[in-house]
Amino acid sequence: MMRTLDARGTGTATWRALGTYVHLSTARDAVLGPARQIAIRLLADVDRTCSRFRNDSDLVRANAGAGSWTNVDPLLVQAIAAAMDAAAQTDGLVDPTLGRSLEAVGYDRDIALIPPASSDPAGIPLPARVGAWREILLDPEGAVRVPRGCALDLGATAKAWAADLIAHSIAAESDSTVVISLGGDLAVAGPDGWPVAISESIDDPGDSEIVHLPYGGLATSSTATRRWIRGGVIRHHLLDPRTGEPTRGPWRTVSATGATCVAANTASTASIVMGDKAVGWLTTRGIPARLVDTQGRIVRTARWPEPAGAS
Amino acid sequence: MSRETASRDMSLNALAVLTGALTAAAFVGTGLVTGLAAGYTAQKAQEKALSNAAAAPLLADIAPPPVATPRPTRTVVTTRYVQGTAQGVSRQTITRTSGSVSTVRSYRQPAPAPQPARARAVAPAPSAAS
Repeated sequence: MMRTLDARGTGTATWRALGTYVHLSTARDAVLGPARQIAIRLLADVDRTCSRFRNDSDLVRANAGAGSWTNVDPLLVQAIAAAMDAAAQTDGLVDPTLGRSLEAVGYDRDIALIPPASSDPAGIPLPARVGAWREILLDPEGAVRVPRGCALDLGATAKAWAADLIAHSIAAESDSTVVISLGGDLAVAGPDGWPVAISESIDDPGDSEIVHLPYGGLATSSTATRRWIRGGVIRHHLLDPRTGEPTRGPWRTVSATGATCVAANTASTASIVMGDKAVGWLTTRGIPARLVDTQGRIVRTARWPEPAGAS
Repeated sequence: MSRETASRDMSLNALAVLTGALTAAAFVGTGLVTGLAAGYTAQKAQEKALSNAAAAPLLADIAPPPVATPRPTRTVVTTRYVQGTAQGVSRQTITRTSGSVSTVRSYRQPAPAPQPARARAVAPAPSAAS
């Protein structure tokens, strides 16, 4: 875990959780310690309940019991509810029932454990059953019924939902502005906004574009990360539920904002899946977004500012 | 009336009779074919309906019957979480045992417009896919 303090007194801590990086900053350094403890605890709870790769997680138990009610932590119920909302907002393009489809193309373990290239069979894409997500039943008291024959995967929305949860949980305990980024899903809470550096890779931020996010969430989804090769076929983690195959549309990376990080992530993920229609869809909904196509060209929808220095 | 004129009139009359006969034959033929096709379609539909009706009990036997699984009860967990919403919207405090939480409301709020980067007051937080 790395902790830094800048000249203006803001504090920053970085570490890894949920299979990705965590970046937490608070406007007052004195808040950072308690904030970090809240974040660590909630991230542990989210991992214990929502992970598809932990045999002891509530989600794995619920998937194993598909077709029947399974007792789970209410935290998972809320995470699934957020995923179902995302599906409803996108006509199922952001689909929480892609667990089996992801396994079919090789995403069957933590991404760090997937060989970058293997000679294993590429796998046969498995489309999601149309509308199966509507059959998920939730009991807010702590139970879920996964549709028979389905397996849930919350990879699309769970990090964003956790970012919202953590940011607002910390802000409720202090008057300091806080920002947390979980692998690109970023939430800001508190009286002020925060500058955000947008790039396609956390390891190579050289192409980053910095904007000021006044509140809410900002999410970046990309097909350039979480990629692997099986049987000579390139795979990545963003699937089109209609085909079960990794998306092959014109957009490589999409960043979008939302009133919450879940809303932002829903827009960025859906844009990559819908491809050519994304700009119109975003524009109709008034969602500021920055889209990078497979050639590296950048398109910005209304209200997303041009970078400083651009004419 | 000249012979040529009488002959031409006869030819025209014969042509008119022939055309009328062909038209009538075409009407009759079309009606006949349409009738046969409709009859065939109706027969097939009836056969399909009978087949479905016959198969229905069989399918009902094969398909697993819907299982009524009662909703379980759960021990109360008291840990509290606070889930915020967009700026300007009241915060909603939820408990891990309280009613359902929906994020639908957040989609109805306008997405914030990012602003051009200000002077580097604080280090930016990253939004990079990983």
